[in-house]
This record gives sequence, structure tokens and C-alpha cells, in this order.
Amino acid sequence: MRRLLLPLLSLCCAAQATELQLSSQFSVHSRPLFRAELGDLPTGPGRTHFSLSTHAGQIGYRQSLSLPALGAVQGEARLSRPWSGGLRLSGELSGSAGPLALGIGGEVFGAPLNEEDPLAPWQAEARDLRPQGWNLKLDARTRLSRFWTLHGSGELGAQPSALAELEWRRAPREEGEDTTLLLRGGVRAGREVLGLSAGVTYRTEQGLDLSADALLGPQPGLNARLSLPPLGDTELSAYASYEPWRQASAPLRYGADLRRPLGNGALGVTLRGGTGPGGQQGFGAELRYVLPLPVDRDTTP
Amino acid sequence: MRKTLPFLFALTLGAAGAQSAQDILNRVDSAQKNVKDFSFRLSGTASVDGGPQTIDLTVRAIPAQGLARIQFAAPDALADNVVVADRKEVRQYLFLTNQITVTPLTKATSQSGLGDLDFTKLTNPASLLAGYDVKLLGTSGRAGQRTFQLEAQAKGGSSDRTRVWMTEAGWRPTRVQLLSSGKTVADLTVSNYKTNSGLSAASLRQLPKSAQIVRP
Repeated sequence: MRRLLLPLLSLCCAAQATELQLSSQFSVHSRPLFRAELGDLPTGPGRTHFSLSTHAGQIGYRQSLSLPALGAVQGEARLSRPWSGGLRLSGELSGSAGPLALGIGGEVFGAPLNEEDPLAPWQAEARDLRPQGWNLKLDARTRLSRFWTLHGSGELGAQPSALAELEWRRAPREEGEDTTLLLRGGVRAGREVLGLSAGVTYRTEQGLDLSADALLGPQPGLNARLSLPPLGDTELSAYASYEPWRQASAPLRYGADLRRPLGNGALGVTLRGGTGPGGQQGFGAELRYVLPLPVDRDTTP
Repeated sequence: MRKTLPFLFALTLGAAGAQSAQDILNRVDSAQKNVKDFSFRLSGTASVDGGPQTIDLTVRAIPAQGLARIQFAAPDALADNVVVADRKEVRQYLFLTNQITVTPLTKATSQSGLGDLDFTKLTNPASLLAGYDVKLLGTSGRAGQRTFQLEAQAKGGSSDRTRVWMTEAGWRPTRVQLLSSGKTVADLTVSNYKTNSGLSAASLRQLPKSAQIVRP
């Protein structure tokens, strides 16, 4: 590990906005995790990250392109090797231009997610927890008018399903107002899931961001997320999801994140918990410190 | 739009005031010294890809800091998107995906979707106008209320022209027209023009905090 880290650290110092992240995780049912990660290392036209932990090694590459006023395109690929065996490969590609946004993402894996990161099964987004397999997610969003957006998404792999929603946005009460209210409704259908979906998002200029989505059907579900306006330097957010229809993911997931500056970097605390697909309860915590490396910070806002 | 924006920015940053186009341009630089901040709304129609599009956007800027904010209200495809540019980077908020993209200025100007609009020159009329031949087409109205109609043509033989109407009352632009091969491709009205209204850099930079940040 030392032989690998030292050359990486010397490489980083020619970089911009490169950061070093040190983290530790403690959770029930799992041994502690300690991780060192070097992120945002400029590599050709994109950025690379390396991470080494007591559970796995990971390498990732991402690249993005911004088209001012029109949209952006970004892509990312990750390969990880849990020390317990197997490989996990994942990738995403998304882009938007004017009224249209498209995204595709997928995973192929021969090792379960919790071998790489014991807290990942309980993150806000439902993750595929099978020991091996593949999955594909597609997402499309098109703006029918300033106030109406059509959203469609699909999941293939463990439990195929599709979601179609129409979203309405309240008109700004004055020009330049940054408070947003979104209401949406639609249908989710797939294997072992069928229901009507309804959701709301409320964002204020001060940074409050609240969204909740419900699935109304034979197996009702609820997702909620809350980000609070910054309290001084401290950022706080929380989420909870209950999706009993999901067969390959944790049906109950909840968590909270805190982030605040400390010294030259930032301190992060994450709490996560939920149930596994087998119904067993679990929870854990992660403590991390992110240090921007002392290089040209001109591109760091 | 490609040629309109730089030219309009150049003219709105200062004031014009005399009998010849060159006189007007000379006054642009000197008058700009008194402008701490400015804002205006640009609305009208433009033909994009053959079809007419409604354009409605608000520009706010603090020239001394090289800071500008453009907020779109129309066309629908761009509505509620925001572009914030300073001397270091261009940040754009995309409403559809609730993302903020951050692009270093050097990269943004080379891959800009706004054509050859160079954000670094946004607040420097003299350098913006260096690429244009500007002439005075006409004057209307009575003394103190005159409107000057200027026409700019990019040096290098382009047939694209930009016409800007400047009013003597307040030395501000009131209308912009973009012509390509003799046809009007954009006709935009400048309204709600304000200077020194105490805009703060923080308010110009403000973008939704919940947005996902996408870095190059």
C-alpha cells in the first residue's frame, strides 16, 4: 500500500483541486473499514480517483464537458476489487442540451456491494445487493414547456421496472425568484410492483431542499429527503426510504450527513441504517476528513 | 445571438453621446467609470434553427469585478437556467437537471455555446468593440431625448450586422437588431435598464444550494 501511495502523492502536487480523503466506518455485522482516497487527479481530459481501504481497492475516471447556457455532458467509470474476491465495474453517462436530459448507468459485478462498502446498501439511492449480476438504469427528462416536464426512467436487471411522471413547476412570483415548488405524479410498473406515484419538491433561496415521493399501490412506498439551509459553516441533510417492493435492495434505508470546515479541509460525519433484503436490521457511521491538497486553488470555488 | 450579445454588452457598459459613431464609442469608456453595477432585461424574438424563438433574459453585472449573471426566462428550453461568469470560471445552473457546471474560463471560452462571446471581455467595451466597424445610421427625437441608431459589422467581411438603438436620456440601449445576409434574425428590446442600484457580488453569484455540482 505504501509503495502505491507514495508515487500517487507526488503526482498529485502538479494537480488542481486534487483532494485527499481519509475515512473510517463502523457498523454492526461488519468489521471496521479504514480508507484513503485520492480524488480529482487530472488525467488527460478528465479526472481520476484512487481509493484503498481495508475492504477494497478502487479506481475511477470521470470527464465532463459544459456547454454554457445549453447543457452539459458527463461520464464516469469505476472498477473496484473487494479483497474478499470478485470485481465490480460500473459506469454512467449523462447529458443535457436545452429541453432534453438523458442518462444511462449500469453495473456488472461478481462481488456484493457491502464487501466494498458496508454502509453503501443504506444510501438514499436503492442499490443492487445481489452477490453477482448486472443492472442498467435509463433516465430521460424533457421539458414540454417552462412549467411542465415529462420524466421517464427504467431499471433493468434484478427487478425490471419503469416510471413515467409528469412534473409541474410553480411560476416564479417575481423575476429572479429562486424558490421552487415542483409537484409530480405518474405510474410505476414492473415485476412485483405497480402503483401510482406522487411527489413534491420544495427548494428555497436559503438552501432548504425538501422532497418526498410516495408510491400508492398494493405495496406502498415512501422516499423523503431534506437538506437544511447552512447553519453557519455546517451543512446538514437527512433521508429516509421505505420501498418494500424492492427485492434486490434494502427496503428500508435512512441516514443523515453533516459536513463542516475543519482546519484546511472539511470534516464529514455520516450515519446510515436500514434493513437488508433478508430483513435484518443494521446501522453504522462514517467519519471522514477531506483535505484539498496545497496546489493551485484557482479552480476551487 | 452570437454577435448580438458581445456588442450589446459593450454598449450597455457605458454611454454614448455625440454626433459620430466614434464619438459615441469614445464616450463609452469614460462614462463606464461611473457605473458600479448595471442590470437590464433583454426580450424579443430570434430565429434559431429556422424557427422563431422567444428570447427573454436578465443581465446583471458588476464591471469592476468582471462579474456577470445572465438569467433566462425564455425560450422554455433555457428558462430558469443561470450563467454566472467571473474572471476565473463560468458557473451555469441547469434547471432541468438541478445541476451546476463549473468550467474554468479558459475552457469555457473555447467550448462556449454562445459562440465567440468571450466572458473576460464582457466588462471591457474597448476590447469587445475592437473587432467591429461601427457607424451611426441615424438620429431621431429632440435634443435631450435623441435616439442614436448604430450599426456594427464584424471586421473581416462578415455580412452579419448588429443594430443598436441608444437613447440620450440615460445613455442606454433600447433595442437591438441582428441581421444576417440582409434578413432580421433577432429583434430584441432592452428594458428595465438600471445602473448603480447597489447589486452585491453575493447576490449575483447566488445559485441553488441543493444543486449537484459538476466539475470538468
